[in-house]
Formats: sequence, structure tokens, C-alpha cells
Amino acid sequence: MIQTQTAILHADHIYHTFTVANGQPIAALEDVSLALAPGTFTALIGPSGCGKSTLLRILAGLVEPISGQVQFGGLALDRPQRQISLIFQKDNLMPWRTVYENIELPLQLAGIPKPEREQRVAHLLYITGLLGFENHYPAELSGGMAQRVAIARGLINEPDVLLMDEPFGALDALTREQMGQELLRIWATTQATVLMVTHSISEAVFLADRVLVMSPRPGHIIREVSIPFTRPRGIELLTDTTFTQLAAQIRAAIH
Amino acid sequence: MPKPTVKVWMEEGVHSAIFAQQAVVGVFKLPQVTCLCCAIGLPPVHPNVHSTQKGRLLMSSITSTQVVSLSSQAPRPLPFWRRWLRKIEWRLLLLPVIGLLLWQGWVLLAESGYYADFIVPHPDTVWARLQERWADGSLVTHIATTLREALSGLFIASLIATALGYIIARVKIFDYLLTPYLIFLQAIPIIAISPLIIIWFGSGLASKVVIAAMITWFPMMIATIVGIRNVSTNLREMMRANAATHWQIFRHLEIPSAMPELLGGLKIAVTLSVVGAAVGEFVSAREGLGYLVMYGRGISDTPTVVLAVLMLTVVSLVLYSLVAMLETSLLSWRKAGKP
Repeated sequence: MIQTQTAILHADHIYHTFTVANGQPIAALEDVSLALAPGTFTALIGPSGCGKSTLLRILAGLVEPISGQVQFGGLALDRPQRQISLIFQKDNLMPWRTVYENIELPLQLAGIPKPEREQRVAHLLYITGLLGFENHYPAELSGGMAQRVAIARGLINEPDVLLMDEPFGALDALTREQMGQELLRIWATTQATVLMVTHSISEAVFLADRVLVMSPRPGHIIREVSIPFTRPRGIELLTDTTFTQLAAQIRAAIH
Repeated sequence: MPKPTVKVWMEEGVHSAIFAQQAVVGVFKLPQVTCLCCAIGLPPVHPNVHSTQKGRLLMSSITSTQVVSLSSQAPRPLPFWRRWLRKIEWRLLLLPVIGLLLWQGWVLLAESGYYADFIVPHPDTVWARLQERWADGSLVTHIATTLREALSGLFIASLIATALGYIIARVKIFDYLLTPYLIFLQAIPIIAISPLIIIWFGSGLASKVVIAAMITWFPMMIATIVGIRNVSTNLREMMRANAATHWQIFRHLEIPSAMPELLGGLKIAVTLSVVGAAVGEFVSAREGLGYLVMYGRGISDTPTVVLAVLMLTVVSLVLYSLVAMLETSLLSWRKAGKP
């Protein structure tokens, strides 16, 4: 377990409950604690409806937990912070803004002057391979392309923490694999700490330094698996025996 | 290390720009937009250099002096006359046909002898009235009066209705409290209440502005409510996650997102505002196109009545077209991704 002192984002005994339409409370999260060390890539995996997305929203400061506390950089997190970036399953792009303007949005909201915005958007257009598409509208992009724009938008503020809620969930298997590799390449150019929710075991093992496994509702972390592979990681890793063993271990933990 | 330099040449040999920048990646303003490769539909100059339609040049990984020249391999833009042909509204060709049919039908009806001239006036008489009233300037005065009343009413109604609609869409308690009373207000027949409005506000500008506002506020309010309620909750969450303030959410999300509905409401309201002004003028007025209708009726001059009604139609049409043009320019993004 990572020392709480060195963690950049740290959740302490989080409990959360939903109230459904008939007024009955449903326990979504039960005693969830986790700590993210700076610069690491953590994957969070678990069955559907186990509260992974809720946990991510709590870590982003969007939802206040019933009990427990989230600390970001040593301070209690009570509202969304610019230094924590959240990337959703849906690309959530504004259809009336071009690719350029969509990526620019967080900088605009942060009040960054225009010349600096242009430099930074250009840089991200370059590293996400979107050069040449800056004047396209989201409706003109493929699903993978749109998600790339969403990732560029998530990175534009140079966040310390990047929370991703099944960012490739809406993509087909081929695009998904390719996007995973690209994400690693992009991530290598940043110093961001990543927590990524995913449904795919192989994706988790391929991308992360550490995989956290959650139980069915009410969700809590039942298993933590360290992934020893060095970086950069190539596609050939997917057929490695250690890789398959780790994947099997995680699969066993889920079921 | 020498400063990285990029030179861009056009096929024609026109030297467009030389950049000397320290940044490896960046955006550089071009002195002339016409020099951009994209402006003439050419592919990116170089894998690492790309110019954009907004007069920017995006550069990446320029580590040494590079000379980039453009070839003319890309498809040439369409000649000006082909582009011009594409922009023509072809359905306008129907206009003379429909116009001629209507005109001839009218002439036939007027010359048939079945109807007296004061029932179906001959178009020539109406045309003569138009020329008379144009010559003495009274037509312009009447149009200006009606326009002023209609637009003032629409303006005031839009302010109140969008503010009300926004509160109702965003705050549940206001929806619960206010909506029944607002619908009650809308249920009052404007035409029936207009004599009262004249009694209360006099027969001048004010009463017509009130009537025009009363008739236009409801569609504007409904449009605002629908528009604001339709704002995607996912986008709201995205804005909140980016630590956006309420004002930023309003300015960058709610307004652009509700714009299609707002403009739809405005399209309805703008024609209704002319109706409102005319209704007020019917009851009591000294000028305006509605007054002209009543005046013509009073002196049994049917051609003047027809002229005034035609002018009211033209005013409505022009206002509607202006909103439609506004819509085309503001919502151009909606054409994206559609063949």
C-alpha cells in the first residue's frame, strides 16, 4: 500500500448511498480507501453497477460522499479542482464548438490569455494526432477521433490527476486497443497521475502499474494487483505468459 | 542552436511568410490569410506544419531550418461561376411563376364584373394607392410606426420572457409556483383585452408596445424553458468538473446550447409582434399599418385596405427573414457532418 503522505490523491473510508425512486436507499460504496502515488497509472476494475463511476465522481469533487474524506495534495477536496481532470465514457464534446475550440474550453474557463491558449492547444493537437482536424466539428469525427479530442481537452490544463471513466467504453475493440497504446504514449509526455475505470481486464493489465478490483455493490476494493511490466509497453505484451497469468488472477478475483 | 525557421512558398513562387521562432511547437499568425495552403484547398504543407483556415499556422517539431514548398497536386477550387451557381436559391425561380399566377387570378376576378370595385379592387388601383402614399411619404411613416411598436414590444417581451423562462427551467419551486399563473395570463385573449389596454395606456405608442409584448412573450418563454431544459446533463457535469462558475456555465454552455430553441421561438414571436401592433392599431391609433386598414375601411376605400394588408405581410416577411438569416449564421455548426 502506498504511504498516505506521498499520495497526491487519497480517499479515506468512503461510504456512499443512493436513494432510488421508491425512496429506498442503496449502498453504492462501502469503506473504500485508496491512495494514488504521483505519476502512477492505476486501473479500477469491477462488475457493472459496483459504484466505480460514483467513486470517480467523488474523487473528482463532483459528488460529496455520505461519509469519508478525499484529500488532494494534502487538503480536503470539497469541490472540483482544475488540477484534477475527469474524462468521461461519452466524449462530451460541445457540438457547436470546433475541435480546436473544444480543446481550448478548459483554458478559457481558467482565464488563460489567448496567445498562451493557442500554443497549448497546438501542442495537444500535435501529441494527440489531431493536427489538421482543428476546424472540424464533433459531428464530423469518428468515435475514436472524438474520444481523442476529449482526452486532449482533459490534458490541456496539465492536470496533476487524470480520472478516466471507461474512456474507451464506447469504442470498438480494434480502436480501443489502438487508443490504449496512444494513451500510454501521450501519458509518457505528461507527469499526470492516472486512475482509469475500465471493464476490460486486458486493458487494465496492459495500461496500469496497479489494478484495483472492486466487489459487486456495495463496492469496496477487494484486491490489489501490481503490474510489473516495464515501459514503454508494446502490443506483443498481450500474448506474454505473465500477462495472461495476471489477467487470470484478476478475473478470479472478480468472480 | 540556431533559431528554427520555416519558410513557406506557394506554387506561384509568391513568398508568403518566413518564421523565426524559438518554440518547437506553436501557433504563428500569418500575415495574409490568402497565403494559407488550406485557403486554396491544398493538403498540409509538411507533416509537422499545418496551416489552419483561421489564419494560424500550427507547427510542431521544427528543430532545424526547413523549407517547405507547396505543390499543386491537390484538386483546384471550383471556378468562381460554379461557386456562384451553387449559392443561388433555385426555388426563387418559382417566385415569378407564382407571382404571375396570383396577379392574373386577381386581375381576372376584378375584371369579371361579378364584384364591385369596393369589394375586389383592381390591382391597378392598389398599385396607384401605393404610388400615391409612397410619393407623399405617408406609407413610410405608417410602416415605421408599426415596426417601432412591434419591435419595442418584442424586445421588452424577450427580456422578460427569457429571464422568466430561465428561472422556471432552472429552479423547480418557481416552475411549481409560477407556471399555472403564467398560463392563465396567456389564456386571456389578447384581441379581446386590447380595448382595455388602450383605455389604460392611451392610444399612442405605449398601448401597442404592451399588446405586442403580451402576444410575443409566451412563445419566447416556452422556447427558453425547452432550450434550457434540453441542455445536456453530461455537458453540465463536464463544465462542473472543469470548475466552471455559474456565469461560465451560462455563457459557454446554456446560451449556445439553447440557441436553436431560442431562435425558433424568436421566429414565431417576430411575426406575432406585427400582429400585436396591428391589433392595437385597429382599436385606436393615429398612424401605423393597422390604422391604415381601419382608415381605408372607414372611407370605403378598399384598395387602401388591401395595400395596408399587403404591407403588413411584407413587414412580417422581412422580419422573419432577418431572424432566419441570423439562424443560418449562428447555427452553421448544425450543418457539420451532414451530406
